[in-house]
This record gives sequence, structure tokens and C-alpha cells, in this order.
Amino acid sequence: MRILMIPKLAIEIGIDHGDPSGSRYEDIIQAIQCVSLSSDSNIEYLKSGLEDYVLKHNHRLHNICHSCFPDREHLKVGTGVACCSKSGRNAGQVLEAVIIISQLSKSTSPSCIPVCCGKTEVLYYKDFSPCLISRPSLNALTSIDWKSYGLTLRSYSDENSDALLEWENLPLGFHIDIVLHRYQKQYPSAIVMLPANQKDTTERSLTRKAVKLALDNLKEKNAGVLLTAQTLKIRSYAPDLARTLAGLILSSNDSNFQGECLSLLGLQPQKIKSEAVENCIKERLLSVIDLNDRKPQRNQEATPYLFDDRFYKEHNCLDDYEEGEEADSSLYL
Amino acid sequence: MEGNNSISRPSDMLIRIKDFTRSIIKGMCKEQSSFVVHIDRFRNYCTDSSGHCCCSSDTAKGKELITLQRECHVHRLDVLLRVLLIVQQLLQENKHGSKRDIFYMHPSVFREQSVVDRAINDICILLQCSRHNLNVVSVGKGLVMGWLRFSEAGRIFDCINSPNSAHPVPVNVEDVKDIMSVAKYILIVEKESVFQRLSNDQFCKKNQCIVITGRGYPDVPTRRFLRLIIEKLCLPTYCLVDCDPYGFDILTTYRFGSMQMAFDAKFLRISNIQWIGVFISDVDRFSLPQHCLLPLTNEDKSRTEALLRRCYLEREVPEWRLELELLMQRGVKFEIEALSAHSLSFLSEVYVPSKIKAEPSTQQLGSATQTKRPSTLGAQPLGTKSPSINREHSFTIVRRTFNLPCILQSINFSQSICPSFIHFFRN
Repeated sequence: MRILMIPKLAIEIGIDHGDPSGSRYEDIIQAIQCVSLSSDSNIEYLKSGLEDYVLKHNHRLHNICHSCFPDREHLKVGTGVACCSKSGRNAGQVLEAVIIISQLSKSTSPSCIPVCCGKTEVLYYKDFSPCLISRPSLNALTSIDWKSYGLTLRSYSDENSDALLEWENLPLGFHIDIVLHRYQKQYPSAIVMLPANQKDTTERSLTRKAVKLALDNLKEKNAGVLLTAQTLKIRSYAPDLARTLAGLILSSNDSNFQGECLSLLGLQPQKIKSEAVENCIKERLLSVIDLNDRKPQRNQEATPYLFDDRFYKEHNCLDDYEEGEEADSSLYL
Repeated sequence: MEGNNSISRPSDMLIRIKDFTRSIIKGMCKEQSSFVVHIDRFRNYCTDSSGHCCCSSDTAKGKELITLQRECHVHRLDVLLRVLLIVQQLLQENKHGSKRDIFYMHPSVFREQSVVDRAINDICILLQCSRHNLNVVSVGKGLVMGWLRFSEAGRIFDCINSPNSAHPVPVNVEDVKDIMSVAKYILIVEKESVFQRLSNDQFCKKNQCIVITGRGYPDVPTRRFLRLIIEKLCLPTYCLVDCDPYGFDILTTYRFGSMQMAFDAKFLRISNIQWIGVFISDVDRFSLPQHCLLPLTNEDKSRTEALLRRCYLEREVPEWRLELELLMQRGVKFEIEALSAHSLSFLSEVYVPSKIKAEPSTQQLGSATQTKRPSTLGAQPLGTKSPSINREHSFTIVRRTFNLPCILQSINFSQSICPSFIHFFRN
């Protein structure tokens, strides 16, 4: 309930009953810190609740761990909401997803290290109550193409607990937290019992959509996060490309050309150092590369290549002798 | 790609390099991020046997789009820009460098020479120029001998003084000037061994010709030099290669250009080259012993099948294709040197003379078909395409007889007269 952070909630009543041993009941409702949010939407509360959960090391602490998280900016957060807006029996179904990526430093105290390293416990709520994750939602999670977000799902389990996703090769100190909340935004005038498979399909679809929206939102707000393996390789070329492009500009004996290029880069031509030009070009290149990473996969593969490397290699074997190559001794004296 | 000289000056190349660099920077800075490098693709043949391909045209056959979305493309762009930076420096400092020099500037990045070669070709396509315009020089390995005299960068190469001595083909072909010749034809031979054979037999002295070899697959300077002297001297050109797939491929390289240099093929190919042998039919015609014949290997057969699929054979030189099919059918190959089974000088004294068209004077206007058939053996050279082409070639020679520098080509004179004319020409 502390993750949902719903400001208006019915009070739970605890009943004391007599006991010869003199037992007492404890407060079972813990006060929610007053959080003033700009929006009144549930997703903002859910996001704030999960942030608190992470900042307090899964609520093991009463307060934010400032040694691990000097400020909330250390968290990378993405949110996604999927609604079933079509008219019909599923109308009003909402599924909210919040994903937080946090990274602890190497000098983290052992007490701060998460219990499940390399694993994500997916918190699941239905109609404002915590419960075990549903099968359709779990299927949705496992069907997502995590590799397009630079993640590899090794395994998953949901035995008598929240769903547990295990990742491969997560960097040290890197942790992912996920919360899902499914509820009915507005109750229909009449309760209609839907066929199970239809409900499952809708929930699976909503979960996939919400989680992908949250992942995309996280990527968009945080450069260099959740990049595919290919994008990471491409990024590694950025420094060399930047150095060469800076060289083409600065080694030119045409000062007008230099000024023009520097203006395009938003740099002042006077007293500019090559390092500054390189860094500027590198940032531009990384921006382009990250933007490409956020494009849908189908657009990336549809680029028309009339001739690919295979064609060129096939027709290269009988072509020009270039200097430095030796003649085939079996054919030539 | 060589185009005219007005676009080949270093200053023009530097302008193009700056334009390209500027376009890269602009593409990177755009909000929508349209970072794409377009590289035209060229090919001089395909495997389309329908005859409807467009390979006969020298225009680009599509484009490659280089973006930052694929690692292989980013690597290619990295290599291209590094080479471009080196080229810019060469042009600005008026220096020249070889492709091998360039390779050693970043060997860990380039990894192979072919990577540099491809980058240079990409740059030639992007800047619409030839390799020599980038101040990237090749080490030529071709040899020339015969009745030829020219100068290169002020240095005179007088092959006429000793027509049977080999001279290296000049690398900086653009510096070749003052080409003079009294030769009747140009003979291209595939291998240095054959070149040496002809040299030893005093072939050029006896046959008044120019002999050139690329020593295997011809490099660009050899092809450019050959093209230059053919254009300047307007001489018939004959080609002698081994009777095997390699020899045939070398022949097609001279005739059509290579796929690797397809973007520049228009300026490197020799369209009127005539194939004089050796043919598989020469085995019977010249009674070659069977032990001179070698069976085609599986690799030979695969290569021959690949050659047969090239569209330009059927379209441009169907008679060449028939010879290649015959080679495949017979399943054997043999080298030019197999002719030595008769005698060491059989090649130079019997075979080649019998294959070459006899006299330039027979190529007259109205001589619509073939030239005078050689007296003894030898089939008609392959590559005499159509009567109209022969007439055009003949017309050019007749017309040029009124042009003083070329007047010697149309005059028949014996060796005793020749030195006098040479002396006259020098003075």
C-alpha cells in the first residue's frame, strides 16, 4: 500500500481481542509520508511510491539511504499507462507500469546491497491491492524483446511470491525494480463475466504495452540507458569518428570552411581547441546513435541496401591485382 | 571518373572534400538527425542472361546508404574518413602516397589492405574522380617494349632505341607526353614470361609493334597507359592470354574493366581489343601434343561457369563466349608456353604473326568485313565486332594520315628506311 501511495484510502480497522498473556496489537497501517504531486494521477503516485521503496532499500529502512542515493536524480525512472479504451466489455481496464533503474556504487555498505542481485522482483497490484502476479501479466513480461533494451532475461519464476525475473550480465550494482498495477478506471454499469481467454488476452496486451511504454519512457529521459548491444558497439566508434571529423575541419587550410563548420556545431571559431571540437562532435554523434536506438526495430532493418558486403566480396575475387599481391605461382612463371 | 582536366586539379578535390565534410556535419546537427552517406554503386556486369540489364550503361546502378545504425557501416565510415583526412593532407601538401603507405598509418584499424582499397574507391565515387586525383599512387608493374617513345615528367623513354628491351610502364600516366610511334599494332600479353620470350626472339624488331604486359591482372597504371597510347596512336590492339579461366578473366579486364573499378571502367577499358589466342581450337590447328594439355580443376570449372554468366559476353562478344564454352566442353586448358613444344621461337615466328592482321593498309574505307587473312594458320582474331566498327577505325587511320605526327603509321617502309625516318622525326 505504501507503494501505491493512494492519498484517499479506506481505513483498515484492527480489532483487539483479549488474551490472557496481555498481547497488544500494533499499528498495521503505517503513515504515508505526505507527498505533494503536481498531478493527481495514479501513475505519479505509483512512481513516487516505487521511488521511495527503492530509496529506502525495499523499505528495509525507515528513511532514504543518503549514502547510496544522495538525491532522487540517481534513479532512472520510466512510466507507462495502457488503457483498454475500446467500448465493450473490457472498457475501463487500466494497467500502469513503473520501472526504476538504480546503480549502487562499489563502496556500498553490505547492508545496502539488495537481497536479490541480478534479479527483479516484480511487484503486482490489482484494484489497489497487492496480490500475486497474474499468469497473463507474467506471460507478457517474458514475451517482451528485452534485448532491444540491452537486457537479456535468463529465467523467471513466480512460485508463491511476486514474479522474479533473473537477468544475464547485469553490471555490478545495477538493479531494476518493476511495479505493475491493474485496475478498473470506471466500473461498468453492469458486471459482465467475460470469457477467461478474452480477459487474459486483454491483460497480456495491456501489460506488454504498459511495460514497453515505461521502458521507452525511461530510455527517452535518460541518454545512454537501456541501449542494445549493437548500439553500445556503435557508440564505441564515436570518439574516433569525432577525432577524424575534427581533423578534417581543423587541418583544412580554409579558415572560412573552419568557421562555417564550427558555427554549425554551435562553437565559437575564436580560440577554439581541438579537444572542444572533438567533444562537441562526439556528443552530436552519440545523440544520433541513441536516437537511432530508440527507433522501432523494423525501421532500422528496412534501410534499403542495394548491394551488401556479400555481393562486393563475391565479385572481388577475380578482380584487379593490386600492388603487394603475389601472382599465383601455379599459373605464372 | 577521370572526366576532363578541369575537375581534376588538387584545389577542386579539396573543395569537394570540404563539401563532403560540411554535409556530414550538417547531417549530424539536424534535429531530425538524417545522418546518411549516399555512395553510388557501379557494376560492369551481372548474371542476368535475359539481356535486359543496364550494365552496358556507365551510370550508377543504385546506391548504398551508410548510416550509424549498423556496426559494419560505422566501421566503413570510420575507415573512409580516416583515409579522407590523409588524402586531404596529401593534396594540401602536394605530396603523393601509395595505398600501402595509407594502410600503415592505421594498421590496427584497417586490418587489411583491401579495406583501404575499398575506402579509396568509395572516396573516388563520392568525389567523382579517379584515384590519381587523390594523389594516391600505385606501384605499376607493367612492362612495355617496342616502337614507342614518350616522355614522363621531363624524362624521355626511348624504347625505339632498343625495341626489344623492357621498360616499366609509367605510374604517373597524367605526366606522359610526346608519344611517338612507328608501330603497326599493339600486342598485349598476359604474362612476363611470354613478354620475355618475345623479347629474346627480337619480336618487336622484326614485327614493328609495341608489346605490353600487365604481368598478370593489369594494374590501373598499366591500363591507363595502354588506353592512352591506343587513343593517341589509333593502333589495332591484340591480346594474347593463356587458354584458361584466369587468362580469359584478364582478357575481360582489359576489354571491360574490373568490377572493383567499375566506377572508372569507362576510362580504363579498351573497347576495340582483339583476342588472338590462345584458343582451344589451336590445339588441333597447331597440333599441340596432348601432354601439353592440363585438365580443368573443379575450381577452374567453377570460375569458368561464373565467367559464362557475365552478361556482357553474350551481349558484346558472343564469339568470345563460344570459345569459353568450348574450353568448358573440352575440359582442358593450356598455357601460351605450350607452343614451345614445336620450338622456342614458334610463338614469335609463327603463331603470333599468323594471328595478327597483316597490313594496316588493308584497313581501308569500304573494307566492310575482315582484314586480309594471315597467310598460314591462325583463325581470325576474335573481337572484330562489326563491319561498321572496322570502317570507323579505318576512317580514323586514313584521316590521321594527314596529321603530321601520325603520318608514319600509314606508310609501309622497311627496316632500312625506318632509322632514317626516326632520325628525321627526332629532329
